[in-house]
Amino acid sequence: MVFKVAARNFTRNARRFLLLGAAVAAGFFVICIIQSLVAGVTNQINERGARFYGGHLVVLGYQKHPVVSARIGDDRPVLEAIARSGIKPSIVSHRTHEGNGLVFFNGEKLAMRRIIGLDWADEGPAIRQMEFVSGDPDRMKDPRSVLISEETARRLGAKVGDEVVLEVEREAGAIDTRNLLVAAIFREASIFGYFTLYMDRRTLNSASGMDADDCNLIGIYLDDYRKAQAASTRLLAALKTELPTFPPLASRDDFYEARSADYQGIRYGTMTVRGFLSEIGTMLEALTMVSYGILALVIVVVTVGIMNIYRVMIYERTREIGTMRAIGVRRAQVRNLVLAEALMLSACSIVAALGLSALALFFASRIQLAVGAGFDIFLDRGHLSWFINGDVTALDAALIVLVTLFGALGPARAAQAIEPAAALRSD
Amino acid sequence: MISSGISPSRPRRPLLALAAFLCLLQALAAQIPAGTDFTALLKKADALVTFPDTDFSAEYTFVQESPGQGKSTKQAMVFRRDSENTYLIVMVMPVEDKGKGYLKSNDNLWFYDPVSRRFTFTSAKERFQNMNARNSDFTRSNLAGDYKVTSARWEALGKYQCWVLDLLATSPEIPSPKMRIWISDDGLARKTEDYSLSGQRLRTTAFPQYQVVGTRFVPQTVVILDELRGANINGVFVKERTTYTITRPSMQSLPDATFSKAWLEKLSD
Repeated sequence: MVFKVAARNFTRNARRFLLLGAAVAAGFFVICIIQSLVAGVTNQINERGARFYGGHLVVLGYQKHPVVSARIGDDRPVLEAIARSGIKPSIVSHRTHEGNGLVFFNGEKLAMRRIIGLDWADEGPAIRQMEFVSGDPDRMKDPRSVLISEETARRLGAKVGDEVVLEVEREAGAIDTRNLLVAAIFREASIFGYFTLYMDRRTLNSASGMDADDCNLIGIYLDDYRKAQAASTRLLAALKTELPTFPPLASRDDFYEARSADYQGIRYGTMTVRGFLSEIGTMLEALTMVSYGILALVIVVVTVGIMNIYRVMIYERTREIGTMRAIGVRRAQVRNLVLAEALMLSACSIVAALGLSALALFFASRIQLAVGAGFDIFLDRGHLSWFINGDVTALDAALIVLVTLFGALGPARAAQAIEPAAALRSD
Repeated sequence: MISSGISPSRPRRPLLALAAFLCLLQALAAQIPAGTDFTALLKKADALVTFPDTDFSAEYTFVQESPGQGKSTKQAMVFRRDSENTYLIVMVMPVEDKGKGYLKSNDNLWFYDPVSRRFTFTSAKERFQNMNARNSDFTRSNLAGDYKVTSARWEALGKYQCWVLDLLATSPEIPSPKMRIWISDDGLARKTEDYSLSGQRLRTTAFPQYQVVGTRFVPQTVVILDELRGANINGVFVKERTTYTITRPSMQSLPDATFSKAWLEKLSD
């Protein structure tokens, strides 16, 4: 009965609640926008980072003797550890990463920041998700093929089907070269692709003097990047039972420190994309903290606003409340009526804010942003990336509802204390 | 009797004939006289351009030709002490590079920047001053130690009759794992081609003329063609080229302090 009356009051006197509702909705809108953008960027970075590093989570191998090198060696114990850990990878990749290499075409030369050797049969589905501007990435089935970035192609003047020469310097210093055919050109202007080249792992291994089946790391693609940290912990525990391991690695600095010790054989560690990009992760965490700061501010504003406006509202409705009390409405029912109205107010504000923020994000994400390469890492093919996280949004909504109820509680108690006779005497 | 030219009764042995032909070709191509010691030939080529018992200094003038970008000229003073496997190079031209220098001491090579007044490690494999010469081109020649001969043939190179030796690096640390060298009958290297392990030609170097300094030889001019760098000019691939001339060669002994960081800093001031 209370809800019915509250709903009737709420709908019939909508103008009364409009200002307050707008304030609550505005606060929730801002929170939604910020958190959706942060979630979108985080998602974006993790997915692109996974393609760059070989998975959402990778197993690194590092040896100090006889030569210092990143290598996995025999992959069987690592694959067995992955199986034992209970992780359900969508893809398991074997990668060779070379830090130095030059690509030549028609006399032009370009230094590559990273040369990625991968197995197309395994990683093809993930790499195909990149934005290709020309060519057919499936030509990567041919071990002489290569994927180059749009920027690399532009600087070299190379097109799909052209033959480029890759020059790599082996561990000891000898130079080797491979003639490679451009299979496709991808668009990636961020650190993940500007000067990155994807080619067949065994072809790269033969050029850089590694054993054909060896690799630098084994990557694991997960269906949800948010599971990476937990999976990393479980995998490290599984590796530890059979292989010498590094301590948990939260960042590249941790890895550099761990590998600086002198030891024999190969040691293994696990690292997530978040670990590789700890600086960016810290920045995103800072943004998340800012969004929580804004949430706290919104909470304070909403609480104070609701308290004040409800006080005025209750004062204006003294005769109405007195009448209700005179016809037999109990004190608790008056209080619940006010709280129910507040609940409806917050619910409507949240729904309106959610709809508006989704609309605003949708339209904002349609705009092609022309920004520098440094900012491109945060964009999805030049567009704003966003993602409304259900869990986080539900938590925010619950907080707003609670705050609204808390703000309305004082005035509701004041309303229940109104005496019918005094109320009816008032102007 | 009419003959078709092919006698059905005559036995045909095409494989045998092919093998004989290939053997003949190989013999003609290689023409390796029994007893030719190619390691000794490499040692001789090394010895003629190395100064184990004296110091060496000279002025080097580099002309870099990058197709489509024009020419640039640089000048440097080179000081070598082969007995200690050390050298010091200081740039004297152009003005913006003046004072930059290189100091090699055994396996260590430092680059000095007078602006920051700092020494940084660099590698012998790096390009010298972003030209087609490498830092390792200024050190003593060690062909006999760095390479072994895999095949040889005798052929004419312009006016010179040369041994053409295919060389394979003896150590994985040699930047050019394969090399082809033309050594004239006087023991001087006339041309080299550097190859990658897979056989890609990386660089061609020609030594058209030598000058005599005491009992040794110093190239007058060295022409280096980069096989991968260049540009398409009117549809023709033109390679990048560095030509350097060596003038005022001297074998006078140099003070020990010449091969020190302090001296390089002092020169740069």
